[in-house]
Amino acid sequence: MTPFDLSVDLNDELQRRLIQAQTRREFLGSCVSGLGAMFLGTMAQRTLCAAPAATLTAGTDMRLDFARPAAQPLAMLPPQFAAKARRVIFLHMAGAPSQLELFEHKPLLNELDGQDCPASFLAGRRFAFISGVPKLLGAQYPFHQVGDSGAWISDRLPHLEKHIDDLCFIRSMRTDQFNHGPGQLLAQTGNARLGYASFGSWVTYGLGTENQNLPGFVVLTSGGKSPDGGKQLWGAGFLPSVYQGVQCRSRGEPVLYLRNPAGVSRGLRRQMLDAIDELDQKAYAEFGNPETMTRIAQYEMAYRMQLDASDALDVHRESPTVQARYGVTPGKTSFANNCLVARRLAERGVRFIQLYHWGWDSHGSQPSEALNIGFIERCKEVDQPIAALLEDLKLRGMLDDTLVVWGAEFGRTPMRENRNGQQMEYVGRDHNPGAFTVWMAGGGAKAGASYGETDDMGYDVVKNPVEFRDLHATMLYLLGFDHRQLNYAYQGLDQKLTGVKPARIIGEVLA
Amino acid sequence: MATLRPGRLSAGRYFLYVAMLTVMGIATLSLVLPNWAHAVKSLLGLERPPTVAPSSFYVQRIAPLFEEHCSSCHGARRQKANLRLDNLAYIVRGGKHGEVIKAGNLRDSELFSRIRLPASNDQVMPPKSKAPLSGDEITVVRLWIAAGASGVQPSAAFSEAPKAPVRVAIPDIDATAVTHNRASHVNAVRALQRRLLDVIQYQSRASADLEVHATSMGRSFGDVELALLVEIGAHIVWADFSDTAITDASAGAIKTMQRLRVLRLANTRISGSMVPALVSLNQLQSVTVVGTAITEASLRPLKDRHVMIHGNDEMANTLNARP
Repeated sequence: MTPFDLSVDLNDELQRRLIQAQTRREFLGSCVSGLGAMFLGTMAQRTLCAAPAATLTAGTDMRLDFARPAAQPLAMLPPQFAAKARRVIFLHMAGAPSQLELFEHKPLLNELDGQDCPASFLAGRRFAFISGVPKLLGAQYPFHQVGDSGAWISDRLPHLEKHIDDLCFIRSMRTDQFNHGPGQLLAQTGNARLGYASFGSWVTYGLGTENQNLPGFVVLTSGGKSPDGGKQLWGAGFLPSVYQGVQCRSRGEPVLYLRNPAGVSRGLRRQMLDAIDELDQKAYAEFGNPETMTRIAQYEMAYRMQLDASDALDVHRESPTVQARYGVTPGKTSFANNCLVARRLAERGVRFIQLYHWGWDSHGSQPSEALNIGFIERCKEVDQPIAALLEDLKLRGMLDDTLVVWGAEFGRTPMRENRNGQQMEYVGRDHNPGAFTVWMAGGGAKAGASYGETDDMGYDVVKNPVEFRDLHATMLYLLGFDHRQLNYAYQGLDQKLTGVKPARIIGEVLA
Repeated sequence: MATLRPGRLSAGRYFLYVAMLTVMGIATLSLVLPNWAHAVKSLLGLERPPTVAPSSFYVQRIAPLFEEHCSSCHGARRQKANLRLDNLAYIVRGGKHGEVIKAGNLRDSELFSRIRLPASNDQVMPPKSKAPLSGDEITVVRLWIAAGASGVQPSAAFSEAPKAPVRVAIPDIDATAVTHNRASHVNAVRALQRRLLDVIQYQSRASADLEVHATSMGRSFGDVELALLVEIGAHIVWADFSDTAITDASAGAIKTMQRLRVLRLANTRISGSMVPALVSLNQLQSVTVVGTAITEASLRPLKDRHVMIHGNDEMANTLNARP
């Protein structure tokens, strides 16, 4: 009998005794055995879970070994097979921009602008705010075709437009989440619930990082608010926490509390760390908790970062010409500053750089969230910096092995939002998990390609649907991994970024 | 007490009855378990499995499609409704409710009707919890049944079929081959990896070729460090020396890296004297000299060999060198 069964039996026994109306003495007695069973249960689970982890990572042919010296958890490891992409810059437009105002040209929708939405669009669908019968809403901005690929694009992204032939569009993205938090979690961790490892964590776990004086996974936010999904979006989940993203700031101190306090010299800091290190080593020898090693590694990294991070994150070290090309606003937090920082980090060998720009939730409920007001500003804020980033990477030959991804958690409806069934003052669209657009550039993604199709309204995918797990599998493939083999034993399951449902590597978008 | 009366049932009759009962038993079983009957028949050589050709539309388009969408319930592991779709012989046989495909007859092909049902219908296949077949996939099945559900008809005969999805093959790692290929330089690599942390790495777990990521060391990587790489120079296929302190003195060392495909030298103090070394690299596909004194014109021989040159002179002076 396994220890696990034993615990179940003891619980049954406890239930049985409780059911028999008994004396206080019996009651107390059974309580003790119940607690004992609970204790046994947790102990059994620990031993059961620990055992396979230990034996399986020992390295059979099929299983990739990610073991590193305990003090160097971020040491570089080669990919499973030769990779096209060596690093990732993920531009997440938090709030979900409207694909129908940027990349999805739908002439029929424009023709039907202002008409009642057909009932077939509404049956069985859930919306965040739309109620009753909304009106169809044509594109708010004119579209035109550009580049050799002849891709359609609206007039909102005049700078990015020049790079259209470098982009690889996936027009048939869809998701099962229609709220921002879970949607963003799904986009970044492969699961809509909390507690899973983020994409950047998986990649730094799998490949380590080139520059040990900087974090391997850096997160930069702009747009006034943090993304709805919170810090879990760059969390390590069940992976050792050394792989979590480090949120940096593009103005002031790059990482809070990184500087030595007044009166503490670098030498004194070193002495302090050595003392803490000694204590931690003792604790590790006694308890063997890998998180202790994580702590040592993080102290050491912070010590090294004191020298390098301020330089890497300081956009003012770039010439005014470069700053102007990105549209940097000195001394402010902006998406432009973050894009320039992203390039500086990529040059220094940071593995995974993630930018969140908040403010794309164009419901039309207030000016900042209106397609005809706030949306215009958001487009201006991202258009020039993204173009400059692509240009700079290309200039250095780095676009060949840097995978740039632009996307969001979902798309927006072809219907105009009518909160509480009423026409609203500003123009907006509701959340649409049924169809949205993501683009990739560089890193082995097929330049000038377009994959998947939506219907004439841009409402649903009609050809080649792509789930986030497919996108993740494809990105991991470009980074040199079979998504099934980049895994981590936890809770009796080989956890994967792509989860348990089968994911498809989209061969059509590979260069 | 009942007594056996010999003579009432002759031996011949007895065997006849037994034989008749056996035949009836087999007939009943065959009716109840058609798959069993097929198994018996093919075992006796009475039934030959349909011929399947590797170039056929069935092998290239139908089998992978059924494998992806159907075989988790109708395959080797589970046979819901006694139906298997993981092999043409089984597909032709059908399941508990009889044949699922009638060659050339879409209307009577149960399989086809079921995959075309709306998602709201209880009878739809794959069932509601699974991903439905896409429009293109339904078209592929339709064309195949309409053309006779054959295992030999070549893909070329289906000109109107939608394009096949690109399948990505993941290469296996042959551990023995990797050890063998790395044997010549494995010790040198290990020693250098200890000397220069996180700079040298195998291109992949399956490869013996090397990559050099010197840029993260910045100015602390110079000609002395680069000279150390000469020992393994012949195995380096990818190198990034951008923002390092290397100078023209490294030309000789770089010349030993004859298998380099990608070389990055952005923002380094190299100049025209490095050009002959660069031109000597016959396998080069991409070189970055932005932010250096090397002009694009001097790399003309490389340009003629269609090497990608990243060295836009005009942009170069807008790039900042690292302190």
